[in-house]
Amino acid sequence: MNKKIISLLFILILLVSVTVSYAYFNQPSTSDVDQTNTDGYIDDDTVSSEIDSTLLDEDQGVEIGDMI
Amino acid sequence: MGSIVSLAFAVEADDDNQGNPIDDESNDQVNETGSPKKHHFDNETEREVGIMNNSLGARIRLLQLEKALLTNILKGVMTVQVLKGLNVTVTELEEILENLSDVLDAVRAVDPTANDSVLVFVQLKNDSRNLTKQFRDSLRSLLDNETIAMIKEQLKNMTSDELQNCSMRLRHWIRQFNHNQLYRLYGIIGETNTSLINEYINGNISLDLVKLQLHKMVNQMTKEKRHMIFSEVKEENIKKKIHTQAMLEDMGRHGKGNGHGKPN
Repeated sequence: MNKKIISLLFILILLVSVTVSYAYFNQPSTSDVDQTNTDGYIDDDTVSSEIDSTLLDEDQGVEIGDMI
Repeated sequence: MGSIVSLAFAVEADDDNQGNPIDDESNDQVNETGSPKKHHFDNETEREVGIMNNSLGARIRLLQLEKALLTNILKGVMTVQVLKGLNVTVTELEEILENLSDVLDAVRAVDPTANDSVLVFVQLKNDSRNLTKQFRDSLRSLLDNETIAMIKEQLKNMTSDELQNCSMRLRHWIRQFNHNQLYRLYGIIGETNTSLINEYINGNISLDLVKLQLHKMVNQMTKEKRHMIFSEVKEENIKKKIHTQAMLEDMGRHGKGNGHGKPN
């Protein structure tokens, strides 16, 4: 009887270990996510705003505050 | 590799900007010894100084400061005239206006090609802000809110030949600046048809339209090409930011105000 319980416990531990290991090795790592963001698609707005920042708006001025 | 390192710097620089917001009031004031508070340059000043690493950029910022001063002096003079009509004592306001005129003369006398033009610009801008604030505060102690609102309404659309002339010169130099920047961008993009730039410099099309066409041009490119353009432009912008930061830190260590805008 004792041997049966120990065997079942052993199998249970083994199953849990296999499940945890499987889950661990199959989840995407944080560095993979970062890599995707760094090397992946750069949206149109990002490129456009970077280009726009090199140009000067004709209506923009130096702000010194209002007199009144 | 250089681009990746630059990108890392960019993220850090952006974080720094967000992490150090400086309230508007702190920039309206100069401490009692007359020297600017060390390292307290707001994002606005940082942005303005960013293009002053060449004489064209310096000329534009100085002209923008001249325009802002001209506008405020014009408003101040007209306000004083209104107050005189109401038999209000305007001695203090006139003194502030005289000081503002002195700052305007000093701005006009700055050589944009000089090494210290950035330092002088920041000092004169601080003086202008302090004097403007002094005028505003004095006026508020003399008049009630209703009268101030009435004067404000009267001054809404005021202009002068001097101001218009300044605006025209400013527009000319900004177009020249953008013209140079667009040529650089075209170089990066690999575009050789410069008709768009020529139309812009001749005043036939607006900057917004140029931007729109530029966006269209870039968005039609391949992902790799867009990535390359983004990296190169970003790298340039980061270099400029680092240069500006270094310049401002150096100014924070050595700069002193000339005392025009010293608060009472």
